[in-house]
Amino acid sequence: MKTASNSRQTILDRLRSIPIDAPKADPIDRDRLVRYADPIAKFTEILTFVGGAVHLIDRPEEVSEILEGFEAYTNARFVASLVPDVITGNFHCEQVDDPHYLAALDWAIIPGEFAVAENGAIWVRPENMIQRTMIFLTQHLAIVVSRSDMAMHMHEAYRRIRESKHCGASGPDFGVFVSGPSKTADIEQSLVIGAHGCRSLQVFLMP
Amino acid sequence: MSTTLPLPVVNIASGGDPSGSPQRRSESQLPIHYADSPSGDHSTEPHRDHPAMAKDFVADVQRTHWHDGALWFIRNKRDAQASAIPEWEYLRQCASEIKTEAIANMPDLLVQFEAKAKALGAVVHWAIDAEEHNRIVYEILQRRGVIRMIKSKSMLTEECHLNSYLEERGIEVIDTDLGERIVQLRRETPSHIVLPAIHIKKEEVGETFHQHLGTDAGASDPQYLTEAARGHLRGKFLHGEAGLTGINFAIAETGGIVVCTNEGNADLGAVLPPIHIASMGMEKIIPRLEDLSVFTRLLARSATGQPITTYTSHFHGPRDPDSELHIIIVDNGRTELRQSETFRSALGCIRCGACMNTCPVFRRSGGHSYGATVPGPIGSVLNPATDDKKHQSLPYACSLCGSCTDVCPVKIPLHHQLLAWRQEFGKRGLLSIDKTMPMKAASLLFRNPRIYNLAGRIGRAAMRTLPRFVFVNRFNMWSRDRELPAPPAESFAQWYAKNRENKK
Repeated sequence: MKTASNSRQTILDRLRSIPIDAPKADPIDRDRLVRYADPIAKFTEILTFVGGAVHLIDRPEEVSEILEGFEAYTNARFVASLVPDVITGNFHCEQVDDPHYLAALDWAIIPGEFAVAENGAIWVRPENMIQRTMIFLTQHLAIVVSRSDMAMHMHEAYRRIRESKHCGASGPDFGVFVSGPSKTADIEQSLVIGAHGCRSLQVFLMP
Repeated sequence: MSTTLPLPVVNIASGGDPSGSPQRRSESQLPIHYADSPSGDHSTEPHRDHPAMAKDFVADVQRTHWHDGALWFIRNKRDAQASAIPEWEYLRQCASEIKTEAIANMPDLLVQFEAKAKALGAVVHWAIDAEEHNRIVYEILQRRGVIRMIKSKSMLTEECHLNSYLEERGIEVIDTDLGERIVQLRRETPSHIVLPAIHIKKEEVGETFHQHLGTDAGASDPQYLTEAARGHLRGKFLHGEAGLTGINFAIAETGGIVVCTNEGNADLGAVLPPIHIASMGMEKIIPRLEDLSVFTRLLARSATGQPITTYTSHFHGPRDPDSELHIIIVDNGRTELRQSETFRSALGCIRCGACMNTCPVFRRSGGHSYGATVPGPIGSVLNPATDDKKHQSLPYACSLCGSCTDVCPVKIPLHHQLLAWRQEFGKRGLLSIDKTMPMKAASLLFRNPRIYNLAGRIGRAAMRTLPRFVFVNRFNMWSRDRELPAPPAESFAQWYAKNRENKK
């Protein structure tokens, strides 16, 4: 039986036994990438297509006004908000130490860092384990994000992530692109919204 | 784009089955593939080749058409997404270059990744083969006394037969991807790397769920069945003591791993329990963070025709100081594949499944006919590298139409590699006499014009005069499913001499 360190060395030796020459891939030529004249319209089109809902709002109060229109929201027992200046919830996740307690959560309203026009994705960076769990365990999710500085495509998105020193540059962390509610088509290719994650996604595009 | 791809529930069954009456099979008629039998290394039953296994599938004509239609539907969705991106071909070129660079620099990139991941608090393990991978997982679980593990989709753990390994040692493994859960409950294996249950009809899922989850007898509505699975698996998530996920991309520069899912199951498995195990084939390594921009644009569009997966999660280190993140880097035959100049580029595969959805053979013969974890064109290139005798029939399950090469997001020359395998089998002396003899005869024929002309004359005369059963019989493979053409009155050479040569 090989020990762990042995396997590492064996694998690396095998890989190094044949040196392979290959040029470094060229950096992406930005001039060749798509640009949308109206990124907000593109984002809205794509997110709607993948089952999310987009709301263009000008005042923070509109978030709760719009949410009040949903039966799933007015009937919700537990609502958690990570954007307290926009909306207040009744579930105080800072007092929870075990992510399993979040199983009762009906709604979570969270901030997004930025939106991506080409695919309707929003970059979300929960600060801790409880916030991270919330995104996936809540029944319904709402994200509040600015529309003023939308990334055209994923190349711009990753440039921003690098510039903001996320993705491990300053220690352990976690980030996720969310695009639409959770879904599956595993039964005869019939699309069903609400697989394991959220059943609906509301995105509020603030100025 | 969205006008051609409406969001509301699309039921392929009604499109693919013109009779409108879903055909039902009894449990006993279904091809059952137990987790460790058809593709298992420790299988005792004789291995059947692709034509033999495809025969089971194509015997049900309606099901074959339905399966074909379901996959073609996804291929069309992929086309719509690809054509919506003006720089699509440029992206494929970039992806191919990045993978070529990553394969060449693999040892350095893996070492860099290991150092960065460790610095973030992850534990990095190396496994030479499937057995070692499984043992590492088991030891992690055993050390923490875990008896229940939740698992999201990972073709690598299918390749390693992890489930049966852990179950034999008393650990319950719950597959949480809906498609994988369906095949797990039915004691089958996935028939497609992205769509594990593509071969199963909704009525059959209904029967399985009725048996295992207590849904109503006869229920087959996907919405209802998915809701039942959601409820059932939520309980499992909350009680899972450890979570195992696959890895789509491992970033050498940052030590991070990226997991792409639609259902949210991988994320629940990774964030709820205090132990997260992530298994990766060594080819998942990419050099830089920015490389993700290319792959996240290509992956879901190629796989299912979505602009991006619902969740694209970037993990850098464990979720908190009290938790563990274990990353297992697995070789299991990949280093050997990398040694071969001809087949090396197949390591660039990002497992999108586009080559399967477009393959005319896969669509009509089903994934199980390949007898391997990764089926379809890419599987037919990868599997013979690990066991050439066992998987010898796979490079022939191909008409060399080249459609797989056209859709591959990382530009793997799949049909060229399938042809190369056939030549390789010849060099290794693996071809059976029914392939070598006709080739030798053909070679003789084409080298000798006089024998060629004589054979042509005899053939035409024989077909005109001898009875049909001489040609159309069970020994002639060609006429088994095809009619022979009517014999021409004259050869091309004769026609040419008459019509062209004297008119010069």
